[in-house]
Amino acid sequence: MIEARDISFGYGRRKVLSGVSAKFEDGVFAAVLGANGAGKSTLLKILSGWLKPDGGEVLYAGANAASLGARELAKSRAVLEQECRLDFACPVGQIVRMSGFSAGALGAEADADEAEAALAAAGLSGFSGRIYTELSGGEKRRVHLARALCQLGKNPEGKALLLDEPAASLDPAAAHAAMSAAKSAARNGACVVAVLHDPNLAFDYCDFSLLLKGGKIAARGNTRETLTRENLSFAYSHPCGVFPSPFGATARFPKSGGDSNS
Amino acid sequence: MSPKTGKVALISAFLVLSFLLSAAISLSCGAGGIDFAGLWAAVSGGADESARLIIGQIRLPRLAAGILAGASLSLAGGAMQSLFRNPLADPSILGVSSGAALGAVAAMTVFAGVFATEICALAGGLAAAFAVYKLGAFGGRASAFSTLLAGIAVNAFCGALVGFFMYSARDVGLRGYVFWSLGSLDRCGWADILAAAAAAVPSWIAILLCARPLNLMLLGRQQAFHSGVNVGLVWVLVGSAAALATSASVAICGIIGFVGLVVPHMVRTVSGPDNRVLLPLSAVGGATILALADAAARLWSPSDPVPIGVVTALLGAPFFLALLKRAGDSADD
Repeated sequence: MIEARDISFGYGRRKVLSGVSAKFEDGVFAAVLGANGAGKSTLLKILSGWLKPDGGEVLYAGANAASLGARELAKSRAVLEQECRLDFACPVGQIVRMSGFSAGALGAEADADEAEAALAAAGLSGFSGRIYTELSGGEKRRVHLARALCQLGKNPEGKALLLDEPAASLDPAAAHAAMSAAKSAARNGACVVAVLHDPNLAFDYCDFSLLLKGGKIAARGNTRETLTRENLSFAYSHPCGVFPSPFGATARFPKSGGDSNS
Repeated sequence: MSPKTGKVALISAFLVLSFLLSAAISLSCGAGGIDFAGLWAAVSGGADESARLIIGQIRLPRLAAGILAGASLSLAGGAMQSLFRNPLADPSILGVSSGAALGAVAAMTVFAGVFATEICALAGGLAAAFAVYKLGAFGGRASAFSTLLAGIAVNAFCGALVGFFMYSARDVGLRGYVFWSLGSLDRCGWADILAAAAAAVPSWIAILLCARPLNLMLLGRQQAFHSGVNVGLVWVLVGSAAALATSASVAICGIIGFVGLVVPHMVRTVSGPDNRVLLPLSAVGGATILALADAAARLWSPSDPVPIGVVTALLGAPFFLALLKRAGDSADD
């Protein structure tokens, strides 16, 4: 479980987050949504322990994240970063196995089988011998998802999985595979927090949603009750409709002016 | 799995053999030629006094200095390339080499007779590394890019100061300037080598022990942190170890360019970027290259060997370009 208490943060004098408090429970898949620059990624970086908040604190099962070392944090949470650049020609399997680092004093490697399972969960079965620099953008993204899943390990209960736009730059099938993998981590007892751009993915997968606007919480709670027409329109400063569909609730943002092509 | 470990074993065997061969070549060539048979006789204790003296007091220190400098520069270069995630990083681009040279030159001119040259070179190299580290962190957090830029500036500045001191010293200075800016194994005695090794060898060990964290640093600092790496500690530890090893090399051999940049590249094309393989093989490769380059320099002009930095750059630059071209060809298809 991760708890954020009254978090405030700024880059220099520009305030990015103020007074953000939220509890992310084990076994729950939570979505963080909001317009560009609302502070979603910054909140995730603070939850992960990479950024120290200017005010407030982050608690991992009651322990202050600021008091935990990199190694202890790595044992209790895994992160998919928004961007990851790697210019050296590493084999995919080796990259995923590096996620086992925190197990040894000078570093360690995850099991080859565990790495293979994580790659399969990310939809990359049979990729472990491929060279990273020769993959497509979406495939590279999924390698890092596999890295995070592998770091979480076979028994994710009580650990956290923090995902910054897990579906970004993925095709629909791969996006659903990524979200399903995150969902099953939550079903196995992990606390999963994902920054998402598409409210529809939150409708499909997330039990809990948190809407940010201008660095403050605009709404939070059960996904269906939180991502309403009014709240989404307010958070994105754009008209929004939420409709029932054969696939569950669907959000649409009509183009400005409201008239339609069809 | 197994074909890969087989490949690594093959590369290692090849490198170690070429190293031994280069060492033998280096020991047997030069003024007062001793052939391989004579070398064997000297090693096994059957040679005459003069051959033993030439090998023990002249050739062997040269070889030891070459090994020390080659391994130090290549390890430092490989570690910095991984740390900065930039294939162009190397100890001279980051200002450490010229900082160490400045320290040594200052020891001979300004503080003549007060401090030992080696100590001043070490202090100069570390000070340059520290300055680069601090300057790179101008905007708060240090970024690899701003650190590289700071390194280029510090490198140019220290290089200019070395030139100024040497210019002020006129005739003697000119000769010294050649030594400090192009490198040479001419000045090495056993005492210098042991002093430099005392600083270099612990640095090698520290760098080699950081192979796994350096692998994760290839992904980026944030990513390495998320995987459990104490990023600040690795940054400082590897940075100072690389600076120390480089300074130790500069203290006894002057600035030998291109080795720290090219050798890890050469090794990486066959070993891949895994630092656990790349770093030790780079060390062996660097020692080999310097032993060969020194032998070439002495064959070229036996009485007054050309500076070894001239040889490494003359041979290294075209080779490097060929490597880049090959890498470019395979990436484009």
